[in-house]
Amino acid sequence: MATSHVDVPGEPTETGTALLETATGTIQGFQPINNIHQHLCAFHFYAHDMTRQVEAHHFCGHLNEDVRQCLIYDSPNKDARLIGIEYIVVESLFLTLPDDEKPLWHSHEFEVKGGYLFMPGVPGMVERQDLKQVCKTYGKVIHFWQDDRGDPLPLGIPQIMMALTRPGQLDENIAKDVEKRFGVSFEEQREQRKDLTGPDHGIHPLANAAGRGLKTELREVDIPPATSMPRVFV
Amino acid sequence: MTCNAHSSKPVCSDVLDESSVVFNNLKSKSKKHPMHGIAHVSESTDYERTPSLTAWNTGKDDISLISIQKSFKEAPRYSCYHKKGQKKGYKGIHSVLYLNRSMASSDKKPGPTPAIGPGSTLPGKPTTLGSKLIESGAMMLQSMAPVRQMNLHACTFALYGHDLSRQIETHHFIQRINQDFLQCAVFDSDKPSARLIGVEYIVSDNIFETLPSEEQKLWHSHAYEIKTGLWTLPGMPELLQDPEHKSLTKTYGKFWCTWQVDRGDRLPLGLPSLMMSPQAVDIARVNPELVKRRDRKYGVSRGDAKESRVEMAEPEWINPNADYWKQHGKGFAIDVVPVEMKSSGALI
Repeated sequence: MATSHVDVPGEPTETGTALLETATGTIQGFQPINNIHQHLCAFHFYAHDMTRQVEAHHFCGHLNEDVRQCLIYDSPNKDARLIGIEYIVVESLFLTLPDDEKPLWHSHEFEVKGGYLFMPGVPGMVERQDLKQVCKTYGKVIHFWQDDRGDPLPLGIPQIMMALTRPGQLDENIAKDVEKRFGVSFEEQREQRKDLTGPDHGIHPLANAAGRGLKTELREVDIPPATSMPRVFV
Repeated sequence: MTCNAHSSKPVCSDVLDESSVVFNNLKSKSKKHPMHGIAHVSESTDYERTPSLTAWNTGKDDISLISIQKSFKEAPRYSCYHKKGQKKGYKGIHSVLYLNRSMASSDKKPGPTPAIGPGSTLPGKPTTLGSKLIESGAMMLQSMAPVRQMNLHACTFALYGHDLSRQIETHHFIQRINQDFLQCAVFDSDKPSARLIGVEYIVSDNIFETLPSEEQKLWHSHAYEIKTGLWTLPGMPELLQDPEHKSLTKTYGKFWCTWQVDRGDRLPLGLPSLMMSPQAVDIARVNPELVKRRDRKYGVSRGDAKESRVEMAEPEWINPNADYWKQHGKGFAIDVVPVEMKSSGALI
């Protein structure tokens, strides 16, 4: 459950540090963060293990009409852990991705139409304006912190995550818990979202890991020999 | 001729051409009614030429084709298999089964695609008024609490762990969880158009020492980049930066980069790259041009930073497991491999 998590080890923040960071918070600029305007709640599961399901709170901003980027937290609260990232693109951009890239992305049609993806606090009518667009998009989610298995720190390597694509995948308990905490009903949403449509060309067969599981692995590589001047791609 | 799922030898009807096979009366295991359609087979990545491609679920190497559908708007999951060497029209089918070909990695450059281009310009249309209105609405009603916790902006440089000569300027937006742990959203600039390029976690040396050595290898030390002034807090007078730097000098970071903008990626491609920090070793020193440009932008005087930080206590000891490449000459890359999906028996 996302309502409580294992504490991150460490001493409480010292007063001096806290004061300084309050100052930086008011003096410095935070434009990239200020571009984040939306909170979406959805469910992810590990691309190699559908039984491990995570409630994912997305805080998203538009880079433009066709590309969004989101920070994923384990809760919508002040003490939330930053656990991952999602990128969302429209269908036309998804189709430009190389074929070895497409399996890393998932479709949003089912979770939007199924009512499982929602914007907490936003009335249905407004929500649906945006979900009309989201329904047709593809997303790429990477998690860095496996707090669903109780990790107190972000250990290990990044995990590709997938989204719901069919009925029966989402754990009942997780669903009920989220419905209760946010005062939503997935079934009601399903009714109201009947007219939403998915990608114009249908769900691409390579998306959603083309129906397979995907597991990330770590590999050692040789570092290229020293050059006298580092290259810069500007 | 018909293709029958229950037969071990699917037989297909007309071969339209080298790349198309027509199937009729296919019966699938999961659906009772017969399906028919056309499979277009293509080696190319030009997906748009084959709009009626079917959806496959690749099981094993020897892939069996059980059924096909007219258009993939329905996207069901079917197993398909390919009998290699059979004369009638199967020849091309295996090429559709992309999962048996190479998969993405963090250190392999993706093949030619419109998603890579000079200047890595973002593709897509400008944000519409409609979207902006929705966002304003959301902003008024939603709390955004987690994102409001970030109250520190640091600008520094990072190196790709598998190729230290690739160096980028990064903008960390940081939230402190406690005295020993910080979490950062990393962007490629500090403008509203900044791209989210990764996440970094920072831990104190106390916490770092508790990590298993396999984990420690993925982390890098911060002492060098802070003492040399590569790491700076834009907009803050150097003196005010001191207390923060004192505590950060002894920390370690773990930074995954999810968007290789410097490579020309117009969209986030591949697997995350493990990043490393600048170090006092030739191959890990940041190109002076990059630093000069950054310093000019933020009015950082190289002299100021280095001087005030010279007094800062060096960590007595930096764990040799961190900055793994220094002792071992090896970096890390991330691959992804297809596996059987673990499920509770629910439909995949």
